[in-house]
Amino acid sequence: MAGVKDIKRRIKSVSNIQQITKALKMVAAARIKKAEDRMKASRPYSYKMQEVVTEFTSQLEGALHPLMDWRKPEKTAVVVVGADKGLCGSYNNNILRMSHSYLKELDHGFSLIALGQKAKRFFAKRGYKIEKEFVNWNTDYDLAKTLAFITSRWFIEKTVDEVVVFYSKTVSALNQKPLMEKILPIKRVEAKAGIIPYIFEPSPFEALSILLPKYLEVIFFQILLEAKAAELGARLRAMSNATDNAEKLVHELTLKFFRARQESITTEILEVSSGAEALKV
Amino acid sequence: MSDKTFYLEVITPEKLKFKGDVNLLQVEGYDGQMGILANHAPMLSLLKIGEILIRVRNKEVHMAAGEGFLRVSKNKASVLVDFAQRPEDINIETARKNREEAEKILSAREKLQDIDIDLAKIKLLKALLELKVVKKI
Repeated sequence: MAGVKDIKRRIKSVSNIQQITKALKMVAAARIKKAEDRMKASRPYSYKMQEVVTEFTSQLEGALHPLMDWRKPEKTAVVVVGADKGLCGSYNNNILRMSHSYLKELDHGFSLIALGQKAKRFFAKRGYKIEKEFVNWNTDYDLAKTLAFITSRWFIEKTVDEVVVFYSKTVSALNQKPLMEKILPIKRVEAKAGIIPYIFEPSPFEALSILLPKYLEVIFFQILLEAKAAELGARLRAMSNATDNAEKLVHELTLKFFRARQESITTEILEVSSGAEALKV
Repeated sequence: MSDKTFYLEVITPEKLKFKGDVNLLQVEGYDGQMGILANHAPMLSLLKIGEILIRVRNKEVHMAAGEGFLRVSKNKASVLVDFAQRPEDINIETARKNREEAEKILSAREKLQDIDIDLAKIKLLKALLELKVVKKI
């Protein structure tokens, strides 16, 4: 049986850990709110963008843009969106494992783009060549723009033939799911009837060559926002579990502590009384 | 100038930056500046990085705006751009810093990949525009 002092020390250290996890949990909760607000704020833009791209591509019959060019993939650009920090349960692990097994099964070449320290380290450790890396990333539009820029450039120059992204999505407040999405070539969307003919400034084709990259930026931005929200959700859950576990542990240790103290007092009394008994005789 | 109005919204990926009835919208179109008044024909136009001017009665709003496009239909105009900053939102220090960084990257361009050069150019354009608009407070 551990000594009274040892148990006391353990209680202290566990409750210190609890304080930290509780703080992290609170931070994650506050950030989730912010991330959700950002997601909501970005929706008008992405809806409008989708609307316009749909109208556009359905008006331009046959005129395909290089970004919509489907060809047999011989090289794939793989974007892995991970987190910079840990302490978020299996969040990083899930996404990294999924992308890793995809890469292992790929029968042709690929270019890797890694987001987040964790993803970077994971692939660097396994000897993969990381073409571009973004660490300590935030959900700002410039990052989405950069990603869209790089991938669309590769795609148009035919350095790669498709672009897939691995990221996590929030399914419910407690559940995040890793998933893979193919974002290039861009799928053609069929529009509903009743479209107003527009004046195009400049030509429709030129307009499309600006619109589609923009559309890609929006897709990337949504992905970044989703991934961030999922990361925070995962962290919230992990930290709230950790806090609960720590509390349980403290409770158990406190009981143990009382028992140990009781025991030591009993033995002491026993010693004293048996000493007194011995003197009487 | 006519006092007819049309509904305008300026949307960026991060936020709805402006909405309301306005008299005039002036943007940096693909082939130069372009003014939009009420009851314009349906149009879709690309916008270059540049200044946006909105006039509501006698008030003027300036914005530093990124690349994007403008759609007009049914007396309603939507401007979708990468960013739209009012002078009071612009941080001069950051803009200056970005300009310097971009210029530094561009001055060593032989060693760079095309992609990095283009990215630096975009950054430089944004910084220069912000510095220009910020003077219009």
